[in-house]
Order: sequence, then structure tokens, then C-alpha cells
Amino acid sequence: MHDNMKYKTLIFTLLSTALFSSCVDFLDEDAKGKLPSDEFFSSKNDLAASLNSLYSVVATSQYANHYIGTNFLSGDDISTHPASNKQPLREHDQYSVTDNNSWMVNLWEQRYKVIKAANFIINNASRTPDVSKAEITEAIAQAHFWRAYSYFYLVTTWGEVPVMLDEKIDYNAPLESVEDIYTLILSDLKIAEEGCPDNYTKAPQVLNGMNVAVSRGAVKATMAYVYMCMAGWPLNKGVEYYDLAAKKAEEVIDLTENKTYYYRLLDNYADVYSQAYTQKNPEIILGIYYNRDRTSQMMPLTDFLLDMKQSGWGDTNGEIKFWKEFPEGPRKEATYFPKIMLADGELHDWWYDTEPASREVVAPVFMKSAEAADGVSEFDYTSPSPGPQYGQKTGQVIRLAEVYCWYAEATGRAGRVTEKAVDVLNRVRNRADGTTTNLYTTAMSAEELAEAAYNEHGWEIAGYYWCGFASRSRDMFRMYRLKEHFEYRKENPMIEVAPGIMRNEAVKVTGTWDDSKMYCPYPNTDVVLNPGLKR
Amino acid sequence: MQIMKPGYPLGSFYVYDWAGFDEHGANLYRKADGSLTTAPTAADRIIRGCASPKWMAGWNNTIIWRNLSVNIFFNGAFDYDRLNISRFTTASMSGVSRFITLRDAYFRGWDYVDDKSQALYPSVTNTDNKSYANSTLWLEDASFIKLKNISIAYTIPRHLTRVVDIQISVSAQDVFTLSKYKGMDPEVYSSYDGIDYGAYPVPRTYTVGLKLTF
Repeated sequence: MHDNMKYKTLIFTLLSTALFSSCVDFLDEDAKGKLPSDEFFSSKNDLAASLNSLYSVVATSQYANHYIGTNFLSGDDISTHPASNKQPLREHDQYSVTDNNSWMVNLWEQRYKVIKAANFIINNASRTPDVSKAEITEAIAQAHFWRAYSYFYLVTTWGEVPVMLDEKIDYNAPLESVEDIYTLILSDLKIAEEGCPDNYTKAPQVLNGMNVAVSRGAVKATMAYVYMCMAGWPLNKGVEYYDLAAKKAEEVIDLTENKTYYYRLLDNYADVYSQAYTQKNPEIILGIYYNRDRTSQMMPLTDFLLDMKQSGWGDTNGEIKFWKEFPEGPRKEATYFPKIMLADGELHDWWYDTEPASREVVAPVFMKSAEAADGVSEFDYTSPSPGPQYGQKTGQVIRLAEVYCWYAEATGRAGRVTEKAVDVLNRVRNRADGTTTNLYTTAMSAEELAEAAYNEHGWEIAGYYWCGFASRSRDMFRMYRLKEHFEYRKENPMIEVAPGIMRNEAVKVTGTWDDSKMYCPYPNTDVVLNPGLKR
Repeated sequence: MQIMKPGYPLGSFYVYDWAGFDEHGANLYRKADGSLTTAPTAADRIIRGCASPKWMAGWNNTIIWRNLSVNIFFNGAFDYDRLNISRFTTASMSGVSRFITLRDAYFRGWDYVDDKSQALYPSVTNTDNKSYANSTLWLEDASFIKLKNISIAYTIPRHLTRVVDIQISVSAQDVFTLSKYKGMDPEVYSSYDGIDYGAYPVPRTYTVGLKLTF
């Protein structure tokens, strides 16, 4: 009896200890394997690790066309397959994007992933011990750049979007106005301009003599284009902002002339997207560097048509009118396949079709993203070997030739024609022609100069939609010219592409224009989480 | 493709309400307001069908006549659905299959048939056609009855063989399935509940037995 009582007391005591005691310190989590914000940046290595992480997120966010740039199919340079599994691409090409577009959610999500990685550095890096103030400033400046870069994509693709400035995602965040988002972008870019160096001095920020990380020149170039966009639709800030754009572009040009920056145009346009220069292209002001063995991109097969011998994915192809108006010369030869090899192993002009017609897509084919299977040799369009699925060509976000075009265009739109603007535009065109034609002169009107530069930029980056900062579509967006192209595509006239051979676009466009077509709808998966996402 | 919502069973499908074809062979979907469109938005999805059977039944019977015994086992599940993704991919030029590989999707597709009212699948040359895996077009009644097992055994008693009892038996499992489901097997599925990505069907097996009792 006594013993029994003892046991009962003991059991009761043990139970109450287990059940009713409050948590003690040893139960608190100390997850050593995670990188919680409040523990990170406690050593010098953390700063480098946070930047590595940011650049890794950036590289992934642009590695394929379902992560970025699908929306640029609205441009007049590029179209897609009329059927197959191309619905997510085609909706953009047809100006009829639905909120359930299965790729669009990635375009949205990837931008916010970059923003989150950037916010982490912006809000926390300053407490890193044992590093110089300069190193911290440089890291934070880069993060500000990538945040601005991402918000720029968001504001030009969706207009009003929620703004996240913390690492956490707030599903109750309201939409911010386009104006306010541009204000944030500019303030971020100014911090980046201040804090990013002209040139990096040691690896991994510099590889093969190239700035792999964001340099001051890259920030200035970005600012130039952001100002141009603010000058155009929808804010329409006009001349004042074209002036600001021209000034920023001119800074890049001047600092390049005086050798502060190493940038220069390659002599031959064919080298611009070549394998030989991909890791060391002095024309690239901002690039995203890929490596097939580590972080690869998934682009090499996207531009090949389905019926080509090299068996591509047929995601994208050139639009016919744009091809037709594209000036002949080395630039055109390097932009499009000079001949395409079909399943019969023969080389054909792109407009070739059987009798009766059997090809689903009869369109020019962009060659910029093509790579040889070994990832080293130069791509050869006469070779029947299938291309690789994963590639490592550098994502050319901004090139010097583009800054030349922006400078000339912004100058023209601000109402001026200057020798310098004409000169840099001629540099672009002379290379495209493969000879010194000096096509443009100061005798042009300001409007003519602006339009010439607008076109040259379009030809320079034609079809380069997933990695480019300023795609043709974005140029048309800021100039409010998508509507015009929508009407043209609806009409879809036959075009004589060779003597007696008429072709038109395979993808039909229907409907009535309204300005909601300027933007993508908010992806439904996010609308479910944040009901504030509505226009 | 599925939704968890109060008032609806787990495994409810969240799909576009397919409503035939327009005059050019593009898929039509019913919008929330009842009108038809070729380009539905997320708000037009409806809750339809369920992955779990309303009821299931089994019937097991053994008939013994002298030394012969026969066992038959039927089972079935009723009033439930499968989202037949295999049919979607082979009929819709999705990334997995890239071409139309389903016979019916070609020969009974809009582009092939002369009498368009007989078409079962949309036009694949119409650039306005939109295909969604989560559509009632691919949602199928998966009710089935299966002969799960049949076995026949014959026993030769000891007084005939002098030494042992011998039982010889033959049996078969999954002998046949009665179902309107167009996929490989309504009883199995892969991935999420009730979503059939081409799961491996339950095989038909045969067994021969010999039992000696000393």
C-alpha cells in the first residue's frame, strides 16, 4: 500500500513535469544550417556569400524564356508557333494574355525572388564586422541595382505592383502607383551609381578582364534607359526626361572615350553573340555569365524551328515585316540564319515550302542564341548536329551599341541633333553595314535622328528577348507603338519575301485594342493570395 | 487542378468548364456568367467531380461441388472521377508529347473530320485554340467493376492417391474491367489524388497451384 502510493506520487510528479512545465531555453531552435536574417552577416565571409547568393538568384531568374521575357513576344521583331505547346508564348504575341498563362506566374515570381535576395543585403549587410566600409557600400549598392532592375521589369510589364522592401513577403501589400515605383527605381539606381565601382579589380567580380558584377557604367546605362521609359508611355514626362537620358548615356560614352571604362564595340557584328567572345566581350556593359557545368541557361534550342534538322523547340521565330525592313549586311547575316537546314538535310531559304504547302511555320529564324553542341566551338548553321539543350552563352543585358542608340534617340527626342549623337549612331550602323557608310548626318531633323536611332536599336537587339534589358517590345511600349502593330497583325497582309514569293504570319491576331493590352494581367495564383491585385 | 474548400470533399477538381468548339474548331469554355469564350480566365474555373468514390462494393463467392471449388471476387467503385492527363498530353501537343499521338485526337480531330459535328478534339491549326489540362474535357467518370480474382481448385482425396491429398488450382487476378474510363486503369493514378499522368495499370496475373497434404 505504501509502496503503491509512492509510485503514484512519482508518476504524478513526472507527468506534471512533462505536461505542465513551460519551455526552457534548451528547446529554443538554433538552426545552424539555416541563414536567418538576424544571425547572418556576423563574419566577413557572410558578405561574400550573400552576394554569391544574389547573383545566383539573378542568373537563375533569367536562365530561360519561361522565367523572363515571354512578354516581349508582343514586339514586332518576334513571333511564335501557331499551335504546338506554345500557348504561353502565343498569348503575348496575340496581345491576349490571360491571368492563367502558365509561364507568366514565373515572370512575376522570379522578379520578387531577386528583390527578396537584394532586400536581404540592403537591410542587413551593414552590420558585417571586420570588413571595410567600402566593401559594405559596394555590396549594398549592387543589391540596390538588382532591386531597381527587377522593379523596372515589374512596372513595365504589369504597371502598378506591390512594393516589397523587406525580406518577408506581405500578401496584404497594396499596389503602388507607376510614378512611385519609378521614384523607388531611381533612388535605388542613384545609390547604386554612387557605390558601384567603375571597374572591379579582383575575382570573382572580374573575370577575363570583364566586370561580372554590376559596375558604375552599367548603372548609368540602366538609368539612361529608365529615363527614356519615364519620358514615354505611360508617364509621358517628355523632353525633360529625354534630356536626363541623353546626359546619362553621354556619361557612359565619355567615360568610355577617356578609357575610364574598357568598353568598346567589337569590329564585326558577327562576333557580338559569338562563342569566341562570350566570356570576354568588351561591348557588354552588363552581362549575366553562365557556365554549363554550374549554372547553365536553357536557350540554345528555343529559336530553332520544329522542322529544322537540328531539331529545336520552335518557341520563337522572326516576324516577316521586321525581317524585310532589316537592312542587309553583316548584322542581318548574323542575326538570322542565312539558310535553314530542314529535315531533308538540305539548306533552304527560310521562305521555302513544299508544294502543296506543308510547313507550319515559314518564318525567318534568329541565330543569336544558337550554340554548338560542345559548348566551345562556334555555331555553324550548315552543320546538321543537334544543338545542346543547356547553353552557356552570356546573357547580354546591356551592350555599348545600345547606349549609343539610346544617346542618339534621347538627343533627337529632346529636339536636338548633335555631331556626337550622329557620330555614335554611325558607329553602330557602319559596323552593321560592314563598311563606313556614315549613313546618318547632322542634316537630319531631330525627329529623323530619334527614329533612326530607335530603328537601329531594334535591329541591334532583334529577337534577343529573354536576357536583354531593353527589348524591341519595351521600346515599342514606351513609344506606345504596340497598338499600331496589333492593328497590323490583325490585318496580316502578304509580303513579298523573294521575287514572286508571298508570305505572312502564322499566328493570327484578333480582337479590339484597348490599353489594358499594354500590360499583363496579374497572375491568378498571386491574386488568390493577395486580393489587392486588381486594376 | 484541385481545390480544398469548406463544403466540398477532398479531391474536388477545380477545372474549366469545357463546352465544345466554336465555328473554327477552338475549344469553348463556359464563363462564370454562363457565356462562352475561347479564352477563359482563372475566375471561370468551377468545382466539378471528385477523386474519391461515393461508394465501393465487393462480391466474393465460393462455389463448391464435390471436389471442385470455384472462387470469384468482383469489386467496384462508383461515382468518382479521374483527370486524364495522359489523354490531354497525347491530344494537345503539350511539351511531353510534342505531337498529336493519340489516334482519336487526329482521326476524330476538328482538322480531319469532314462533318465537324462529329469532331471530338479541337483544331490544332487554329491559333486561337487554348488547351488547359484542368478542363472538364479531360475529366472522366472512372466508375468501374473488375473481376479481381477467379480461382478454380480441384482436390484429389487421399483415398485415391493412397499417400497424399492433392489440390490443383488455377487462378487469375484482374481478369477484366468494365468501365467507361479512357485511361489505362481507373483503379490507379499517379501524382495528386485522382490525377492520372499515365500510372502503371494493375497487371493481369495468372497463378497455378499444386498443394500436397501428407
